[in-house]
Amino acid sequence: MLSKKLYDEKHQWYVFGRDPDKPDSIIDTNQFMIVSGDRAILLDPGGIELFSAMLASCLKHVSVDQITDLFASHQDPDIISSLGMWDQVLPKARLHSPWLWEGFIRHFGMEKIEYVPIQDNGGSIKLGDLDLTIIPAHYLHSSGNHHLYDPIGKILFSGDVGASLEAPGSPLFVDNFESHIDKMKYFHQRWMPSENAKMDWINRVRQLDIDMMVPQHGRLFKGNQVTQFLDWFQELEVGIAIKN
Amino acid sequence: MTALAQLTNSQVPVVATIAAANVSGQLYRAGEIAKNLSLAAKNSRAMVMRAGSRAAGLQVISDFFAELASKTILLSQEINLCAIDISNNSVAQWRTHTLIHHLNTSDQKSEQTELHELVNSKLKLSSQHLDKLETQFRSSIKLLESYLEQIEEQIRASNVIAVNFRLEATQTGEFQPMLNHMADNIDQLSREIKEHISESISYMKDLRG
Repeated sequence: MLSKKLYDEKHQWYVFGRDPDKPDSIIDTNQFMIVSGDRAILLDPGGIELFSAMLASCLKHVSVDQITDLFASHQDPDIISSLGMWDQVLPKARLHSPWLWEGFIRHFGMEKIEYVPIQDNGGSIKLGDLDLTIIPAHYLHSSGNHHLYDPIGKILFSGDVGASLEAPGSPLFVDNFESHIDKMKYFHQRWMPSENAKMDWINRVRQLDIDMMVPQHGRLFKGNQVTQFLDWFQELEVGIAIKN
Repeated sequence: MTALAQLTNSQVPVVATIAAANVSGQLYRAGEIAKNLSLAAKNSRAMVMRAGSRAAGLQVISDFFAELASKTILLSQEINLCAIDISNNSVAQWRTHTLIHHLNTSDQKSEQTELHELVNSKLKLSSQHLDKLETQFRSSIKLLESYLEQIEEQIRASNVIAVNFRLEATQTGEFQPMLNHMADNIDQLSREIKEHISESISYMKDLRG
């Protein structure tokens, strides 16, 4: 599994993904880890099939005791079906996830980890000296859905928004926005159901100072590409399964 | 309680999964340091060339460090692959244990003969699968141990060579301070690699169970 440091100042961001040993039939995912002082949080830690590769990747950079928090943007299996395993490995950890999904997510197996329900209007997560802002992203695509913003690193973890479906081993960053559109278009039109939800999220995100936007699938956006994405997404028709 | 039911309570795969991930993590760090060691060895080789005939004895030593670095990088990659195999195997055992636990529970709750037979046949298959996984696990552990022994041996030799490096450096006149500084650097990097190897070896007891 590829492991790369994205940001390295007082705290660090890592991305894990592009796992060559992943079965071809499951969708490729990006997992993220933020390390602040002696604590670390995993963002959308991934599916059960990736668990051993993910654990080994995390332990390249931190000890198992340092992983104190998990964040699951929503309830999908590619986000958090590994929970039953993390529950055995990180018995003192806390899982931050939408309140709406608590009873559902517990089906993945959770006896020891503490569930910290995120309210609909978001909130924050304190990780050492770092305050991470939880940005509501309901109906994008899940009905209870949040993203995570780091105001110091100026990085937005945008879950499924900005996701692209690509061939295995594709580059980590978007190189040319225009040619990247084809890889994102259908995903956003089909998985994202609501025009109102889309505009609510765009309006929130336009107020943030973002250097990097990192989705859970596909390539990551840097600098001006973030604004290019927001402009493109604003114009995009979503919810096409009904309209067509 | 049957032997299979006892297995379901086992925490061994959980501990082994963490241990294998820890070995992989430690060796990744050792491999990263070995890249710096390789660079330090290249620098020392360049310095030895500049020092000319007075540093002829150092040529062999800096070659040794360059070789040590590349062997460490290669071995750490091999170990990493092996540790990932072990980690995957532990997770597979873990999932099989969980399945066996659920099958046993289901069997206890049901009085239907048909379900009882189905559960028993699945239990037998799961048990066979578990045996296979355990055999593979033991063979991977042996391989990992032999890799760790090899890498430990190399690093042990580097301590002796570092002493020789310093002795030879005394013959190089004005180059001596710089070569000593390089020897310190190489020494420090080798020590850091050694610490990560020792840490990896300490996790082996968790893997052996």
